[in-house]
Amino acid sequence: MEKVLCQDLIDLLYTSSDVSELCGELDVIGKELYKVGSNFSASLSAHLSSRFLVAVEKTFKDSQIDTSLPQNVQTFLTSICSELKGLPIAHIRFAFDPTSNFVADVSQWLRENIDKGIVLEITVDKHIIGGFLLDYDGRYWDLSVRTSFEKLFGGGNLVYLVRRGT
Amino acid sequence: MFISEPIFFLLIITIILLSITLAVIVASYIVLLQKFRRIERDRSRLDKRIRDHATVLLHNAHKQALSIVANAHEKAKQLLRSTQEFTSESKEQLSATLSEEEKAQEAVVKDASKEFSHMYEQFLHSLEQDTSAVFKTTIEGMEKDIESEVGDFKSTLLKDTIASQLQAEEKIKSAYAAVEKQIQEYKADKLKSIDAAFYEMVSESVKEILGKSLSVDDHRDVIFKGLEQVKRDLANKM
Repeated sequence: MEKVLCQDLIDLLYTSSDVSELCGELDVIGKELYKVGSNFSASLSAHLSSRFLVAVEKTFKDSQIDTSLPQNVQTFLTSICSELKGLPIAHIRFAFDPTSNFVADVSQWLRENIDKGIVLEITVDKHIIGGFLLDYDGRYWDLSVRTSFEKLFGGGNLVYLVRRGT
Repeated sequence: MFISEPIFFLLIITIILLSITLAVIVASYIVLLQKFRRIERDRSRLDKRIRDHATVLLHNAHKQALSIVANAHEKAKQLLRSTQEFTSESKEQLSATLSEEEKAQEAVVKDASKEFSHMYEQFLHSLEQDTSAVFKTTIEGMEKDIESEVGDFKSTLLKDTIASQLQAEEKIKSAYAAVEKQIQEYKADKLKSIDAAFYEMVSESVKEILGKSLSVDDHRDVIFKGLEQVKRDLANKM
């Protein structure tokens, strides 16, 4: 199946929440296509977030879809969402609630160094103290400060070490 | 003081068993007393019969003796009447003869009385021996019965006691296992809470050691160093 997404659009989507948000907006636009007197461009402007608008318009332009035919547009919107949901996901756990800038930095670093289409699924667990846990492409990394401390105390469980009086 | 439920039920069962034991002993004692009274009654009745029988025998003997003497007198009178014509000599002879006859009769009566007394003594002796033997046999039989009953009761009580002990042991074992399980669960819960508290403590300790909380920049440094390691790992995989 031919890819419909342009990299400009992918670059705006850092997390799975961003993907869900965009797909929700495209779904609303798709439902308006069949309304009498509806206008596709006006609908895009009305329902899409400003940060996605330019990239989505570019995607339609690059695809050369005849936007006057609602059926064509509907099929294309469905393809965009399917492709977005098929992007590789990296599950990452931080010890703090990251800012959007921090998320953007991490996402860009991963896209530059590991995979261009990678999308983050972020969770927060203060017990890991610092660092992160990463689950990606069937592999798992525990690079948390907590685990580093456990290794420092002899590679065992900290509670066990405390019980032994170590 | 708190008594656990299995031990409480065990105590109740033991009290019931002891009550049953006491009841059985009392019942046995009552039965024994009744038997003893019956034997006493039989013995006094037998004595009375013996006494009555002896009196009857003596009375009959006396009557017989009197009858013999009366007959002798009658015969003598008849002889006197039929021999009025006898001479005084013959009267004297007759008198002497009568006197001898009377003495002989008296001697016979005396012998009969002696023989009767001897027979009566023998009868009494024999009766006494028989009664003693019967009494002894009865007492022995009763003793055996009681010993047997007490033995059976002891055996039953021993069996019940052993069964109760086994049941108690089983109950104590299961109670111990349940308590041990509860302790393990409590221990696991405590360790879980200790684990949570411990990491809070470690986190606080890290902050204290560093003299400040980990800043966003500190987290950033740690994270990007980690990401570099991920990159190296993935490169090595390829």
